[in-house]
Amino acid sequence: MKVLSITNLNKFYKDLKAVDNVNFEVEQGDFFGFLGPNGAGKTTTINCIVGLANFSHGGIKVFGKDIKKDYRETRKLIGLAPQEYNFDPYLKIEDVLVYQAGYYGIRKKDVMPKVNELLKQFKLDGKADVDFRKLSGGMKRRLALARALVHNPKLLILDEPTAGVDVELRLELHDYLKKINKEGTTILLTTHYIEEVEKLCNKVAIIHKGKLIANDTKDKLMLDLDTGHTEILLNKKIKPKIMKHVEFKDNKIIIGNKGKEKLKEIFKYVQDQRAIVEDMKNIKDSLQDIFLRLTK
Amino acid sequence: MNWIGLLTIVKRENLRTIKIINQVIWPPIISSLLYIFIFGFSLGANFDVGDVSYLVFLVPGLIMMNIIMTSYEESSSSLFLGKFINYIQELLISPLSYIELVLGFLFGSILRSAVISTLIFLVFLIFVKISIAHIFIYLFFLFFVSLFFACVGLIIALWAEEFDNLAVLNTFFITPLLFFGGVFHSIKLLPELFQKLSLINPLFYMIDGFRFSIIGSSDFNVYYSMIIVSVLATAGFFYSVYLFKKGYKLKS
Repeated sequence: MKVLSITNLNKFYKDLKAVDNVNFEVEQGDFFGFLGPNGAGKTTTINCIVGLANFSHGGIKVFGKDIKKDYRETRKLIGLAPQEYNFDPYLKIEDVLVYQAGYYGIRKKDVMPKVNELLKQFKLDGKADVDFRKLSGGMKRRLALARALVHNPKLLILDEPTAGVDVELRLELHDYLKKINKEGTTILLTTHYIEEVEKLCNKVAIIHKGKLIANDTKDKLMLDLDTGHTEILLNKKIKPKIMKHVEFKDNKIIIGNKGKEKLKEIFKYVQDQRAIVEDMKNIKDSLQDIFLRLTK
Repeated sequence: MNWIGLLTIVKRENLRTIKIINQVIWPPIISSLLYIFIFGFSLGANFDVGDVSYLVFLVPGLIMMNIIMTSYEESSSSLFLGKFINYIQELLISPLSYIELVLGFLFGSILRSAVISTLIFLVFLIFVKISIAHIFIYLFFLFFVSLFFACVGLIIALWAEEFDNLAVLNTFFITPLLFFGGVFHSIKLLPELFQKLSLINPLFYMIDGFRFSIIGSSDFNVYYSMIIVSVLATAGFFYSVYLFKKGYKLKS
């Protein structure tokens, strides 16, 4: 089932086209990584989905329902943890969650078990009566996530959820996100930590200058766009030979993906130079390498 | 209708009022008492306006002045703070309709006005012999004037780019119009030209009509004042809803 369908989405800021004819779909159960450099259009796209940005062209559907016409229903299905902290400064931690649930039409007495569960889950249970301003950066980040989950959304949108969070907490959040994803919550994640996407996501879309330049399963994307290379380690430095896609560097020969058909010729040259191959390995591109290459 | 969502906004507005009680509740009460002591008991102690003493004449004007100030300041500061810190996004992504959002802010504002005006009235009762002549008209003006200025507060907060902008309307329009609108005087005491000029000041109808509800007499026909105030409040409400729906300076 399609949880999110974006069709021909265009968003202008005066003359600037911030989102340029973007199309993608997120299926139920997906952990969808939405990547792009700063200013690529990630947050604008998210803002269009959740109702924080107007758009004139294109359509967005959540669980088959139009986000403009059926906004009451679609917004109940979405939880958003935004990039910037945006809490009411007059509320205590517990109230942040209770009031948030209230906006979604849930009474305090009905939401309290969920509030207590989330406070415990995110290790904020000792801070229920504390003003949010007194929380550390990591705690605020956890509170933003708890707030996004308090009304039990089916689609969780996380905009840089682990920015500024220490490694230990980041790993804990990863485990928790994996758990709720397994339990049925579809997640759309934007992050600057590409290893996070590599670790968590099954699908990836890359946006650059407002255009979607890649959109596939993570494995297929990495397979199709992998331009990895082969490294041969020699026992000594040899005289370089000019060959296309082959680089001689100290006692290493680096062979690009397209130079692999020259392996026989390279081995013969190594033999002629009276060198010995000590090691040889294939190095695959990481998602980060692919991302950097696509957005260069 | 998402009643729980709507009530949650009103509750949050009330919580804000309680948290800043020293900024918003006590100052209007204290300043009203000072006006009563200085203008009522000292300067105005020896003359009457129509059938009532100047002290009694002054009371409705002072209460209305605080209703206007409070409703404007509550809605404008609340919405602007929400925009400034961005917590307005909590509301904008929620399943609340634009009408519910606007109503939430407006009810919060009207409630604060009602509380402050009631407290001022009760404090005045200690010093001045007054009663309410027409309770329905009293409540009518309390509600519709608060509603109108709460709407004005929302519109200004949407337009404002910084806190300083909120003071523009208060300093250059509301305060002068209040003082010319008859808080401290009957327009019958003014020269004919100024009497006519007072009639283009919408705040005159609010103060004059509200005064009628307490002392039972006014400079202008109270029913016309009620029509003018309700038309202004209705127009303000629909314009606020229109701006919210459009996302004016709320959505990118």
